[in-house]
Formats: sequence, structure tokens, C-alpha cells
Amino acid sequence: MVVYIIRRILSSIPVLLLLALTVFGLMRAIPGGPFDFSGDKTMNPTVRKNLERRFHLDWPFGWQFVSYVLGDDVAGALCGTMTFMPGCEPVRKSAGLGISKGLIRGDLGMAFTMRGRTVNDIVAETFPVSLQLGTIATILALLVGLPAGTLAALKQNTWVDYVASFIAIVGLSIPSLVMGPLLIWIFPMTLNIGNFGRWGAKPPFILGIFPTSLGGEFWSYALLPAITLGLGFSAAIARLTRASLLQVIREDYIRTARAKGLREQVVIVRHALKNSLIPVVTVLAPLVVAVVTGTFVVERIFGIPGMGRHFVDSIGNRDYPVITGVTLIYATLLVMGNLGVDLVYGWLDPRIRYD
Amino acid sequence: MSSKKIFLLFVLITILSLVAAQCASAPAPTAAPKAEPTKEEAKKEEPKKEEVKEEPKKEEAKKEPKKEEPKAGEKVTVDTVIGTEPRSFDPSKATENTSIYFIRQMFLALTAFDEKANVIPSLATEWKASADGLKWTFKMRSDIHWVHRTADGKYEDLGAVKAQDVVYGVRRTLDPATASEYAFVLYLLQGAEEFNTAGAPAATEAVTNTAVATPTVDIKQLAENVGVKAIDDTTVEFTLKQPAGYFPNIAALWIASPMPQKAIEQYGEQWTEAGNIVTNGPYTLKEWQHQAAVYIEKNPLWVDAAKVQIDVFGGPINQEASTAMAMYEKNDIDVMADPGWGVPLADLDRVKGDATLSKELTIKPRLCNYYYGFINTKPPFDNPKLRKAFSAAIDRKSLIKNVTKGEQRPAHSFAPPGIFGTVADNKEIGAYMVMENYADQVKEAQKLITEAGYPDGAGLNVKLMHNTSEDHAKIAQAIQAMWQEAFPKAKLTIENQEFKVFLDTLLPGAPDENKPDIYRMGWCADYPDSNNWLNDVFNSKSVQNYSKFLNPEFDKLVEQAAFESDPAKRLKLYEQAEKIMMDDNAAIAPIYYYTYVDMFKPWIKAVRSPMTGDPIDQWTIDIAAKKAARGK
Repeated sequence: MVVYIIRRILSSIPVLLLLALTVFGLMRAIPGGPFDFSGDKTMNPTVRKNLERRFHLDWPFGWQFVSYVLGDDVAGALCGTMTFMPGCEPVRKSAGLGISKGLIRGDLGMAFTMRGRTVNDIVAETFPVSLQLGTIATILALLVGLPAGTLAALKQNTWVDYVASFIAIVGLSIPSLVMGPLLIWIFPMTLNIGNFGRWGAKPPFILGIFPTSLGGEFWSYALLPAITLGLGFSAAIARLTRASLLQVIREDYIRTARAKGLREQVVIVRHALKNSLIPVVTVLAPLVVAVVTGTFVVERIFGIPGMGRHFVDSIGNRDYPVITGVTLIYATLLVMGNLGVDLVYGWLDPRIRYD
Repeated sequence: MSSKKIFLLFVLITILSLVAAQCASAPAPTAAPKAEPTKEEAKKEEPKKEEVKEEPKKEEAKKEPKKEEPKAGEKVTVDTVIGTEPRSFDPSKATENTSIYFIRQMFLALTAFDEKANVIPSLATEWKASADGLKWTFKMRSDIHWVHRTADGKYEDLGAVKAQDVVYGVRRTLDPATASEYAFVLYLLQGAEEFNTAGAPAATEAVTNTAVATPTVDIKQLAENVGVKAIDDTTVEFTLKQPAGYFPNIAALWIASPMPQKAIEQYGEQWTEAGNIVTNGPYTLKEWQHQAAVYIEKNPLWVDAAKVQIDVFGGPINQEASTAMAMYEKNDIDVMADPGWGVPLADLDRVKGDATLSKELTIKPRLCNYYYGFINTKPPFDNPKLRKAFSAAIDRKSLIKNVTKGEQRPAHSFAPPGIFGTVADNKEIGAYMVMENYADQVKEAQKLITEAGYPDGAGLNVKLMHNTSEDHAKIAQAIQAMWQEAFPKAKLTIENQEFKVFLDTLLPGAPDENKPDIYRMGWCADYPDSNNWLNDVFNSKSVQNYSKFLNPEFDKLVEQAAFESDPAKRLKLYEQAEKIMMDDNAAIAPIYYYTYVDMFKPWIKAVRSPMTGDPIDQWTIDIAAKKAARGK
């Protein structure tokens, strides 16, 4: 088991590196560089060169990547000792700027657009907020989705099923782009319930993640976005649970369990539901990771300072380190989430083994 | 062995969670109770809400002060949202509106702009140019002090702002190690360009043994050579490369403001954080919760502090204009204006139709121009008659009335009203764009297009491009329809590209065959002088000249106007230049001069500036009215 986990973690490192290289390369392939324009004005060419030099953008692509992964001092040292390496001229000149310590030392680099800020700062400020919102939304989604799906399956083709399915369809089809403003209009604006336009907790966070107070103020800002985010999510869970449970309930071993005279509750919860959760859990991991790393639309509508905006804005700004950094965080969580799912399989279905 | 133990532990945990899950899902057949925890969470809010419904006034009044007071104390606060995370409060490095808006509250430059965009004294009380126009001497006041707001809210007086601080600030902006994006604006100073373009000084600190030894002395020497020096503590002298009548405008820019050397050297990149920053303006930074909120606070040591009413200004960072509008209507914020959002286009009709909201709406001219450029070198638009025909066929009035809706002013020149040297009030220049009757414009356009050899647009295949945006698309479609009606046989297509790709396509050096025939563009003033418009944008040597407009006479006129010190002569030169650009060449089709479409709550009396950064120190607020409205 431990060996399995270690092997999985080790094997994910090349995947993440490859991903970093892809994002790194793709971003640089998009026309228009980070310092070509300042606003909608063409940057003065000499100023542009100066800025590019400051961020090692005058280095050849390969060396930029070496600097990103290992640090610019390492790149400088490599170039200093191995003079035969190609493209070393600019590297030797500005390796001492020290703007990148490298992924290997946990440094995601300097942001281009926000002067003087590191990507680590940006993530540390925004990720906890997205995580808080995402976690509330996930709990909400599970609390609504699982029971609704189970009920719908157990009462298949009754009004309970129809109502649950109808709500699920509605929840799935209303985009948060519509749901968010609608909730703002109904609750804070019309009924004077709840708040919007900021987040109810601010740094410093406990352990860098948890809000210091979970009082009414926090919830007055958190509930509406969490509902917006969790609604579609819960609908997806409900539909999946229903479909999966309907299938399992017709299996022979359920009939056996009933024949043994087990209580219906035990049959459903311990035998049927547990087994039917495999597809749900499979889908859950990527969904949860997507939600806790920030959602552009919901955070924007509710004015929440989360990480979601950086997935979009940094591309428009050509802020290479930011987009590479947030993508890497997303990918790392995804890898971890999938690993977690694989481990949960073993519990849900004892036939699955890890050696 | 140990793996087995861990496995056992894992099993234990999973069993525990199974038990927990069972507890939660035990009453599966009656799933409703499962949802209860959420309801209970919601209930924490609910009792309050019901009270609100019964006695909304009391409840809100009780609730609001509780929320606001720990943040601002008894302070007079103007609440706003901030449209985007400011990129930097470092005057050398700021480039975008949000940052500049706050920098103007916190840092005093030598000169400033008044409500009509005229240059007025600020840190400097008077200034004069030498007879040859090369040396500018600024006399500074001595009662402006550097202040430091400590993390616990105390204020320290760090002594008077001196001429040496201005010298330091200018040199710092030009220092290649600072890598300022706006450094080039100061290139008109002697030795500035040489200093700014010198190789990165960090090269000398390279860890590698083989580092090329860039002489450090050289950089120091280059810094010394920049044409700025302190004659005494309150006199600073600038030496220019060539005369520039608009130089007092440059002295008002944030990049040329004095900067606190000690704090910058002490904190490095972190010097602009709240608690570190040292400022000299009426306000200083109280709180900068990165990406979440910004608040500035009145500087109690400010020379005119007694006259400043607003103690605190700021709010959360909010990137969505419609959310800001909702907050405004809920009385959460007092202004819909910079540094937040103006009124969203989608809400504008509703605001204008609403009895209360329409009274709060203010529309003010803004020093920007929205225009369609022609690629002057790309056939068939290398023909000025064709360009003129397309420009004439735009019904600017109807576009503003039906599409943009912000009471913008139809444009017929490049520099908008309010800019020194504008011809916006001279209807003879560019007359074909703003005739009394649009029908006459169409007639003129049809005549011109026939003369150009494309009667009714036959044989024309025109591509219009804009950067991806819903608002630009609406305008483009409206103009396409106008053109189609005026030139029925022309084939007109609209394309759009992501902003940076779009700009990359248009760069003067980029190949013409990839470019559209007509492109959308805008220009906003860095400083209110035509030099920033005609010379900086459409001089054939300018990197901003996307249209590749080239007219030697025009170049000569705008360069001459830049060097000229006599205002009357400069006005004449700019008039001639605009005439060449609009009437003879029709290099671009200006469409409208921008407006600020803002809203202020009735309890705010705001003094506005056409340049970025309203003088908040001159605003007043009826705080009782605000409290009453919030308690509603």
C-alpha cells in the first residue's frame, strides 16, 4: 500500500514536469509577449528589452525552463562551467538577478503584471479563499446530491423521483452566470438577506487556510456563492447516484442480502449505496479539485478574491509564471485527488487490491 | 510490516468515516432530514432576516455600524469598489488607471492638473524655462513632509520633501534596474535615454566567474549625467535634450514625483506595502489586502489636513461592474466611478429612466478617443478618398444615441476637447464627419467612393477587425450596417482577435497582408497636450502608429510644435497638423470622444479631474445622510 502510494507519487512527477513544460511552451507560443504593450499602448522597444531582460525572457527557451525548474543561479552555474552549451551568452549576463529559485525549491517565480509580487504570494493570498468557498460548496453538494439521488432511485418512477430529477436537470442546466445574479437579486437586493461583493474572511488565515471566525458575517458572504457553485454540482451527484444505485439494486447480491432477512436500511446503505458510489467518487475528485481551486465566474460575480481569476486573467496578460503556477497547483491537486480516489475504491469494493 | 500497520490505520479511518456516513445517511428513505444541517446553518441568519422584514430600519441600523466600525472607527468613509488589483503603488512602476488613481492621492508631484486639465502648481509653486527652452527650474514649497503610517496606525513625520527627493525619483524611474514601463516619457531629459538603455546592472553581480564585467562606474556616471539636479533644497532644475513647451505636463506625471529613498532602500520591492510605505500626499495607504481590498487614510500631518473631510476611502476589489452596480443600489458603496466601475452599459437605460438614479448620474468628458484606423499602406485603403468615404459614411450621432448611449461627443479630430491644441471646437476641420444631416455625409461619401473608382463600393472587399469584446462588436456591427447601406455593393466582414494577438497583428512592423483594412483602436491621454496625441501616436517614427500614416509635413509640424515654447504658435501648428491628418489624408476615422458615465450618491460632493485620480481631499460628504440611507 505504502509502496503503491510512493510509486504513484513518484510517477506523477514527470507528468507534472511535462505539464509545466507544455504550459510554459504554449504560453510563449501565443502571439504577443507580456511586455509588448502597456495597456493598449505599444511599449517603447528599449523599455521592453529592459523588462524582458529582467525576467530572463531574453534567454533561449531551454534555459528559461531550466531557470524555472532549477533556479537561475543553477542555470548560471551550468553555463559558467560548461562553456560549450549553446545559448549561454545572455544566461551568463543576467543569471545573478535571482528572480527564480526554481520549482525544485518551491518557488513558482515572479509575476510579470503585479510588480514585485511572487506567484507564491498570489497563490497564498487567493487559494485559501477559493478552498474555503469550494469546500462549503462541496459539502452542500454532497448533503443535497447524495440523498436526493438515493431517494430518486429507491422511489423510482414515483413523484419523488420525478421531482428530484426535474430539480437536478434544472440545477445542471442553469449556468452559474445566471444563477449568481439571480440569487443576488432575490436575496440581498429584494429580501435584504445575506451579503455579496466581498469575502467574509480575510488573512491571516489559521494554518494559512481556515478563516479565523465562522460567525454570521462569514456565512452572510459565503452562502450565496456556495449555493450557486454547489447547485449544479449537487445535481450532477444526484443524477449519477440515482443511475448507479438503480443498477446495483438489481444485482443478485442485493437479492441475497434481502433473502437473508437483513433490514432494508442495512441492505441499502451498507450493500447497495456503498457499491454504487464508485462512479460517483470517480467523478467527484476532479469536480472537487476544480471547485476548490477557484471558479472564474462565481468568484467574479460575487467579488470573491479567489484563485479562479488567475486562470483566465494571466493568459490575457501573458503572465507566464502565474498561469504556469496556478496550472501546476491545479494539476498537483488533481493527481492527489485521483490517488485518493484510487485508494477509496479499495474500501468501496474490497475486490480491488494494491500491490 | 509497517505497511500493514499503516493499512490498518487507513482501514480504521475509513471504518470511522463509514460509520459517520451511515449516521448521516441512515434515514435514507426520508432523505429530507439529511439536508437539515444546511438549513441549520442558514437558520443562524434567518431569525435576523425575519426581524429585518418586520422592522427593517432598526435592524439595519443596528447591524451596519457594528460591521463598519471596527474597520474604520468613527472615521468619515467613502465606500467604493476597486475595479482590479492595483499592479503597483510604486510611482516608478505604475502604468494602469487603478494604481495611478491611488498614487495621485498619496504622492505629490511638482505640478498637477485642475478640473479643466490645465497645469497648476502642486509641490512646485512656480517654474520657468530658460531663454533657449532647455533648462526648466522649479521652485518647491518646503512645508510638504514625508510621513510614515506605522502598522498600528501611528504617524511619523520624516521631514520635508526636498529637491533631492525629486532627483532621486526621476533617476530611479530611469534606472534600468527599476525597469519602469513609462521611463521613455522622460527621454526628453538630457542623458535619460542613455541611462535607461544601459545594460542590466545586475550583470555585474552575476554569480558566474565568466560574467562579463560591465563597469559599474559607468552606470553611476550615466545616472549622474541625467539632466536633473537639485540647486538647493527647494529648487530643482531639469535640462532637456531639446526645447519642449509641454514640459510642465511631464512634471505632473507620477513617474517624476519625489520618492522616499530611505524607505525604498530599506524595504526593497516591499516598500509599497501598508506599514512600509512613506508618502507625501493628503492620503496614505492604510490597508492593502492583496487582491481583496484597498483603503487609503487621510494623512493627519498633511499641511491642509484641517480642510480634508474624507478620512478613509476604499473598498473591496471587484472585477464585475454589474456586481458593483448592485452594491451601489444596495447602498453598500457610495460611488460608481474610478477607481471602480462606471455605470455598466446594460444598466444605463434603466438608470436614465429611474427618477432617483437618473439624478445621481453624472456624465463628464474623458480625454480619450475611440477611432477606426485604416492601414494607410495597404491597398485599396492607400487611397485617401476611399478612407474619407468610409469615414464620412459613419453616422456618429446615431451610433452614440443607440449603441454607446453615454452621451459621448461625435469626433472629427484626433485630440479630444480638453487637450491643449485640440481642434474639436473647430468644425471646419474634419467637417465631412460631423455634418448637420447624415444624408449629406452619405452623399459626400458616395461621391468620394465613386471618385476613388469603386462606385457603390463595387469590387471592394473590406475587413474590419476589433479586439474581442461585446461592446466593440456592437459598435462594429452598427457601423458595418451604415457602410453597407451607403455602399451597397461592397463586401464587408468583421473579425475579432484576442487583445494582445490583435495588437501584435497591428504592429507597424508586422506584415501588411495579415492586417485587416480597418481596425478599432482607442487612445487616452497620458498628459493633456497634443504632443501626447499627434506626435506620440501618429508621427511616422512612432511605435504606436498602427495605421502607418506617413506624411513628412505632418511629422515636421508635430516635431516643431514639440520644441516650440510659445503656446500660441503651438496651437497653430497642431491645428495645421490635424488638418493634414483629417482633411487631406483621412488617416483615421475618429468616432467619438469618451465620457465618464458615473454615479454618486446624493450625499457625496465630488470634485472630478479629467485626468486619472480625482482630488478626494476636496470631496465632501453628508455623513448623516449616508448613515440614514444605510439604516433604511
